Amino acid sequence: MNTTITATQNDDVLLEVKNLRTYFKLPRNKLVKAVDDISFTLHKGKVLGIIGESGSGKSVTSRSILRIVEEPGYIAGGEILFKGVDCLKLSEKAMNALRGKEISLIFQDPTTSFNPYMTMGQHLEEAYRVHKAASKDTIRKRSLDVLKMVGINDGENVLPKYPCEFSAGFRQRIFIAMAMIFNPDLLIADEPTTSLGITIQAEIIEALNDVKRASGTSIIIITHDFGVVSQFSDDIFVMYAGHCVEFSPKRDLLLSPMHPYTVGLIRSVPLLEARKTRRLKSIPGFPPDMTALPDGCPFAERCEYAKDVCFKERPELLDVGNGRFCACHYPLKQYRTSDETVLEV
Amino acid sequence: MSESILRVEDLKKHYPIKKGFFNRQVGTKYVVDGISFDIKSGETVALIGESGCGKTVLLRVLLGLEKQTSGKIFLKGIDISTLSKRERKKTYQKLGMIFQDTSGSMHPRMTIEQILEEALYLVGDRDRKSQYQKVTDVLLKVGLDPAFRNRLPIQLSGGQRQRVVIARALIINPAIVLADEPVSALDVSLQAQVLNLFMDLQENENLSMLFVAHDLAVVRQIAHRILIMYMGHILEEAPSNEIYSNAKHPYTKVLLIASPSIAKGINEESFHVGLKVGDTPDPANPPQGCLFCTRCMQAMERCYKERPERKEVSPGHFVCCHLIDEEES
Repeated sequence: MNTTITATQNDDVLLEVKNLRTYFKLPRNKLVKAVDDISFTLHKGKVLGIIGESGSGKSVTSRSILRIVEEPGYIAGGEILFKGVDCLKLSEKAMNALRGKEISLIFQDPTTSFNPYMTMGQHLEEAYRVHKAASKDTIRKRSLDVLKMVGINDGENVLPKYPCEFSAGFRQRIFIAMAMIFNPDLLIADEPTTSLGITIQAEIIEALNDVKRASGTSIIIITHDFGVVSQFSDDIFVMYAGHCVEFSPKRDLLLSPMHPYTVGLIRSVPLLEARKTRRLKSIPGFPPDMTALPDGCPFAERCEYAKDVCFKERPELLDVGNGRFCACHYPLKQYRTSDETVLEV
Repeated sequence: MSESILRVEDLKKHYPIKKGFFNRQVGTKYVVDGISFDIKSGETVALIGESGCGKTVLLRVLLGLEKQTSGKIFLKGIDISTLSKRERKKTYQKLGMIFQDTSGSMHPRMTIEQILEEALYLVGDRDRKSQYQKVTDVLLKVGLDPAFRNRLPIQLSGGQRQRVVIARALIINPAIVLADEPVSALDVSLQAQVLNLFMDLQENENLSMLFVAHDLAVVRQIAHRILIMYMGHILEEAPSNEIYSNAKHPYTKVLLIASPSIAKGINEESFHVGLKVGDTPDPANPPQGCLFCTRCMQAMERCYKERPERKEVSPGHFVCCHLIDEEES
């Protein structure tokens, strides 16, 4: 199959996911294909945004990369090449050496991810000691460094305090610092700003940006907010019902989306810059039942361009040129977001 | 516009902080501190604020779930706080409430029909025959198939559940609908459907609404007027277009800059907040001067000392900020 996205230059590639499939076994022999045959590449120092509605398999993708999918889920196949090594073939011990050291994960909820009985200093220390023995002083120095990286300059005051003494936004910053303690090559942020307010969200994204600039870390950001991905990422990966629908450099995707689902998503986002209010064009219908996905394109039922083929045959993710990939039988070649005054740029 | 539906005058809600063996009051949390606004018939007013600014407490006071410390609430010109208990109960029946958490606000073992009929029952409509018709009507109004009446909440999707919650608020024919973040938990495509529904209702039903949200882009779709709330105060109040084109208060500007958007992405604008690092001050210990001075980049000496007055900069556009005086002089 030549649908896999191959990188132009191999040195440049940090992570390559090929035909990844993660399934969940449910009682009564039901199988949920939460992630079904997705492929993408992430280059060094770049930001990849994964966007999709709830239940589309975004979080399962990130968990699959770290191999922390919980029962009854399992990785059914595919390859995850991190720096050229297939993570799925590594032993659990070798995998543990990667987790937190070379690949870090930031969770959505900064409240529940801390132990309320441990000080922030102890949290950072624990994150360090898991991988490396070191003196208290070295760890303390490193802790202060990473705190500075996320914009916390008075680290000395932060370390002896407990999680409950900070606001949610501040806790999320410290969590990012904790994830950065070994300068990982890959940082996966799973909805890092969803439960936070607007200004705090902007501050967290700014902190992630600073981290990226300071250490050259690649970031995968998972979100359902189109605004966040369009401002933060270099490439965008659109997921629908466990499938990759479109994968493309950001600007191209935003200006001329090819997959009808991407078009529908962009059209239904309320715009801050709209000159006058208009009816939003929402996508009709609801996402499909994941236990009984249709044979054809999973989006066919809600798609205004769907033809007979779409209901029968599942489209493959095809290279359409310029580093863009689209899984559609009839990709939209002419569509421009500016045409409909959806965006006035 | 016409008649005033809901008017609030200098509304305050303070919580005492008690400590020690004798539960002595050692301080006060100024959660809602002097809010005034007026919602006219057929108008949608949006209240924007970040978490912890007192939005929800304000709604709870308006709904009568908590008693205000001081201030007056007028519903259709009648001061609610002076009414007897029984009369007050009746006035509250004119308020339709839409909660944020749709699954949590419906009884899981009641059918949609029972949920909607209960709302009617509570306002004293106990005629079974007309109830059936009313349920059908309201379900059609919010774009649901009347056959859904026999389903349980769990059998509906998120967007459909949100429609049922809206139907429940509308079925009692409320004078005004209070909506607490009605779309923030929904996915984009569903959010668009629900926002369109609100727009339809505005056109067809002359809906008056107080719409609490934190997303400026969402509010742009449906609000006629916008109130910007910060630490229990309204810092800026303006007609919807004014806020987006001619925001005066530094906090409003920060909110506009910090809101992510697709157009900003295309133009390669990065996130830049322009706030002083730190947190919102403790509502128990608000700054002496302007509430926003601790985080404002443009704060002057005067801002730390003196709390700015509410000023009208153009018709219907009110701002609380000392910078306005600077501009004038």
